[in-house]
Amino acid sequence: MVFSSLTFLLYFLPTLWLVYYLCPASFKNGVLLVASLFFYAWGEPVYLLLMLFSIMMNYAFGALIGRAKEAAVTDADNKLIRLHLGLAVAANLSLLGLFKYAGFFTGVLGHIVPVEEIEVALPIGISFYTFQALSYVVDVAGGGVKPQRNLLSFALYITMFPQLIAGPIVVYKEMQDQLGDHPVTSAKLRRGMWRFIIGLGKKVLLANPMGQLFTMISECGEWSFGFTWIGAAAFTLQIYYDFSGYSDMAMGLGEMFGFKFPVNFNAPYTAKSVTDFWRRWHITLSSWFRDYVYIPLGGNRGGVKKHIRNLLIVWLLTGFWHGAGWNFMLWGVYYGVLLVLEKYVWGSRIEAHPVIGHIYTMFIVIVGWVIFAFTDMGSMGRFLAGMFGAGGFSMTAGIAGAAGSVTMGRILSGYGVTFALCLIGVLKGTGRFLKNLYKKHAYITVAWLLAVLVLCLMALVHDSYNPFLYFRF
Amino acid sequence: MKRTGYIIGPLIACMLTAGCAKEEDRYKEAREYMSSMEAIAVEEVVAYQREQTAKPSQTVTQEQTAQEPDTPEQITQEPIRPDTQPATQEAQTDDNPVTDEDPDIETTTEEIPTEPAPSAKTKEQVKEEAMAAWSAQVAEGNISLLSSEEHANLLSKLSGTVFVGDSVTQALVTEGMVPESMVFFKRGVLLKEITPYVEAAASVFPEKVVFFKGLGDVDHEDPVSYCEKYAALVNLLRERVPGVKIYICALLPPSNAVAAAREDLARSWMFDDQLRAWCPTADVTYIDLHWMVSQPLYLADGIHFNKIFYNLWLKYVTAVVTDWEDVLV
Amino acid sequence: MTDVKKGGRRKKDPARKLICVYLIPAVWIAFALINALLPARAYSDRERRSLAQFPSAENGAVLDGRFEEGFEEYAKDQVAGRDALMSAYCAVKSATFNRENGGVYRCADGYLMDMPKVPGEKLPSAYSALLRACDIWQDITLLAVPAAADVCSDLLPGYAREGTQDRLEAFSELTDKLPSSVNVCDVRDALLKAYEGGTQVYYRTDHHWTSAGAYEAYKELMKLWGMEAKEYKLLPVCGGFGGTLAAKYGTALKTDTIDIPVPDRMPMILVRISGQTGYTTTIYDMDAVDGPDPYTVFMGGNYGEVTIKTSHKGAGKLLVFKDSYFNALLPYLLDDFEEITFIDPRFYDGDATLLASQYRDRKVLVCYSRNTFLEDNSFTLVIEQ
Repeated sequence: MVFSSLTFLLYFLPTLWLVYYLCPASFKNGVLLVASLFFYAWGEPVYLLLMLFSIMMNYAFGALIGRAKEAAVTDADNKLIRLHLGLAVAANLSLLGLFKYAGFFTGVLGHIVPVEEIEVALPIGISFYTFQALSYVVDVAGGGVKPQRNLLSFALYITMFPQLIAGPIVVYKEMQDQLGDHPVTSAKLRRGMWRFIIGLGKKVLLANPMGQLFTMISECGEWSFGFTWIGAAAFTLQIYYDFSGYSDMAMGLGEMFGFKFPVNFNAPYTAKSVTDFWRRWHITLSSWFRDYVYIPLGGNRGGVKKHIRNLLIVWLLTGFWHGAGWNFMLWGVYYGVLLVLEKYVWGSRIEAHPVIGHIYTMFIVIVGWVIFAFTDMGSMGRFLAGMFGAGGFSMTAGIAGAAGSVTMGRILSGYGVTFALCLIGVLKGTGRFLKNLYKKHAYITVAWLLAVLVLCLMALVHDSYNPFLYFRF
Repeated sequence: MKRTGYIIGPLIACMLTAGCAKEEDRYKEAREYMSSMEAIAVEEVVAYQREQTAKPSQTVTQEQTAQEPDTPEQITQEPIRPDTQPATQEAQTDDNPVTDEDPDIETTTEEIPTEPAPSAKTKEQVKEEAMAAWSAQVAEGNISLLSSEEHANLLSKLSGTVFVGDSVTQALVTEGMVPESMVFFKRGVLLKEITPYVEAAASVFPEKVVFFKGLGDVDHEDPVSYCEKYAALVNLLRERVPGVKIYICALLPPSNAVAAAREDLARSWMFDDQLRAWCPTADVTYIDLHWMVSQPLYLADGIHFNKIFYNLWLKYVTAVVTDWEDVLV
Repeated sequence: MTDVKKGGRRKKDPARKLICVYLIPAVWIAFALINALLPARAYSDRERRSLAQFPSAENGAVLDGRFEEGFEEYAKDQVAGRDALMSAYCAVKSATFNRENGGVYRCADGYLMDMPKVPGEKLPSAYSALLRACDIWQDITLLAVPAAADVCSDLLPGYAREGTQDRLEAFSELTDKLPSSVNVCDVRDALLKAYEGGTQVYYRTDHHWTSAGAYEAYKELMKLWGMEAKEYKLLPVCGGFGGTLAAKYGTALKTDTIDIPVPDRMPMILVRISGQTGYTTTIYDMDAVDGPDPYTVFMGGNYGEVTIKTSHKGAGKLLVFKDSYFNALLPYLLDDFEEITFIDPRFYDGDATLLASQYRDRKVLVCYSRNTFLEDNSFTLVIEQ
């Protein structure tokens, strides 16, 4: 199930609200767990078993490691703990590797050895819940958290539907107290609801049209300067609004049920350097990689060479986590290299000139997204070439697209307003303005949020509009 | 306030309905035109069109006033029409099995001093020559297949003719001999069940109807009831389509092999004889196909015929139905 | 609305809390309830399709995902007020300067137009079918009806107007390649002249031409054939027509009126539709006028093969390969031919051999819209057998 679908908005969520708010307190976690399992099973009935298996496995490992830790006295005991941990990590990573990367690995191997490329369907959310499970076992082994005795609560942690599909990655540390006690106040309900609506609006009203614009341009095959940059900008905006919209919806949903999730995006396109960008983009992922890969590898201790090595490894893995493809790894390494350069070469100079820093960051980020967007290296190359002038510097001449020619006029009329709204939304000032608006004119805020909700409903109905015009031509 | 409401409300309602009524008025004329077009009876149109076809001078003059060209050609077309009347009389004698005596009869008719005489004589000769040529083809087993032009020629002559029957008629469609719009058939249908198909044939007001049925009825009828059923169908047709000409094809026997194996089918000659005797009494033309039948022309089941047979069949039946005018050999 | 601060603490306004916290969820839940309780609609007139119904949960449909997919479709199709929401969405889109939706352009004067196809590098299959038809028939005329965007291109939004001239030239180049035995009847100029003279030659909400447009084409055709064009009166038969383009776009901006051409004398015709028994005496389908697709008042739709025998004996016979555009042109031809057979290759069962033997010596008219001519395969499939 997807948050921006009519099934979720008109059937699942209202029903869940009614059941949750009307049921006695002791049942609330159970209700959430059942709802989450239902939510997951709705999209993937079969892979529910896989997730249940992962839950059982990690619960068992947690219990095992926890008990071992309590009883740990000698070094041998500690070695045993590390062994258990190693097993747990290996088990989780193999699950992830099998389901997400089997196709990729066998494809690569296929070039060397006559192995057929396996195609495995990717279970939704496996990247997210595996990382959450890993955070649990690692922290139990490290002593940071106590193992969760209650299977129900543990299962709820793994399967919680708001962050199951697209994050944020909530490490167990942050949840362990909330699982037992997550009261809902009217303030939380209000904030959660509003955040959810904003997230929905970002996804449906801003991200989807930008996605269409990007698709329209990228399907052309040949590009000139103006169009490649518009396309790249469209993708940049799409991925931000899509992802941050989902994160907002997740946070909003969590808050509606009393949970506080960490913020995942913090005005990333106002960053002044690449390092700053990664402190604002997908914050929970970079935190996870920092805490569970970078720091165990040694972080920035051990000399420059080691530091650079660690950074590059972390970024290669980050890129690879995003998708099983070479372009994703390239994207990760691209950022890894830039971060190294910023740390050691020009970081301080960038900080001194924030405006230049901002322009430079956006340039890097936009080019980075182009690498991220094209899985086919050939098209990616041509698109990048177009961005740097290979297809001419025309800003207005039309190009032949799959659905009629793409001209600047067509783009402006079809997407101009949305594009402008997207740009406004990226600014820090917009957030501040809206907050102030609520303080001064709360009813206006309610009104515009309701308007956004209705617009989203209209847009979703429009997406399902499918006239059948076969007979008469 | 309330009182004005009572006035204004109905006033607005009146205006709206008046507006709607006016709307409906706009479309009245066109809709009346459409419904009167729909209400015209098919029989009326058929009769009217037949009238129009029979008035060549009038149509000629209309065309002359409308366009200039080709007047001499149109005038020469006229004499053809009077020819058809004596020709039909001759046709009735032609349908009897040809014997060697005919050439003698032909010489006597030659003496009738009318303009049409030369063409009538030619018709008999034409028929004889054609039958001879075809019989030779059947005997030698080298029946020529229709070329595209010949096929088109036959079909244009067959306009206004429809075919009714069972699977042997169905073969006309499956072998691509005749378009489905001209054929009314059902595989395995019996005479007692064929009425809806005859009605369907009648509904297109054909000029000629050709029945061609196979051996299905032999197990369900006796020769007398067989003809009675045909009589009922013929009456039905004549009631619905005044002036229709009806032809019934012979009931062809099964192949020798099947005749040997199945006694019931081997009795078909009794039905055929009865039919042959009955047809002239009902003013129905019997089309004798027996001369056309040779063992190689049967399909494996010994009851149906192959494409070559139908090629010849079409030529022969067209000739009979058009009264041996301009026969394609 | 403004909060009153009293010594640092906000005075709690219960109405404020009610509205800020509970209004949106209340409206949301109310709508969800109404949505769930309203009975499911079976058919959408606007979209011309049946709407998804509640899926069955039998035979393991739940386990293999079919029930879920079916439910998603059901949820999408059965939203309360779906049509109103769709119209509202179109209104919002046009308010944000959007001139396009569902591939249909919102043009001036309430017109909706879709962008016609441009001839590509490859020759369309209908072209080779025409060449093959030349082997069978000697007198072939091609009437490729231009689309609204080709004639009334000044109504298009500015950025969509640019390609018009190129598109027209590309199509002319294509027809120039045809052998000289094919007569090409170019009606674009006649339609343009009529349009500039104020006649409505295309519908606003449908991709077809109006009867007035078809009348212009009829006159051009008769000129080409050296025949006299008869006089017809155009009478309106229904209004409030919202056609295919309105369905594609999502809503109609201005509705249309359909006219039928009425001659001086009632035509006495016999119409035989393949697959149906007997004759009818009319080419109009009266019920269509009140139904979902009023354009089907002409002939009631498209059939594989229809033969019309008129009482205009001796006037020649016509064979037409057509798509739905011809249906509006047909009433004009009833008084000029003795027999008209028209074939819609998309629904026709037969093949070229049968056509050649049945209709060998006829005048042939290939009447297609340009889009169908460039896209459609069925003509080739019938002719090249």
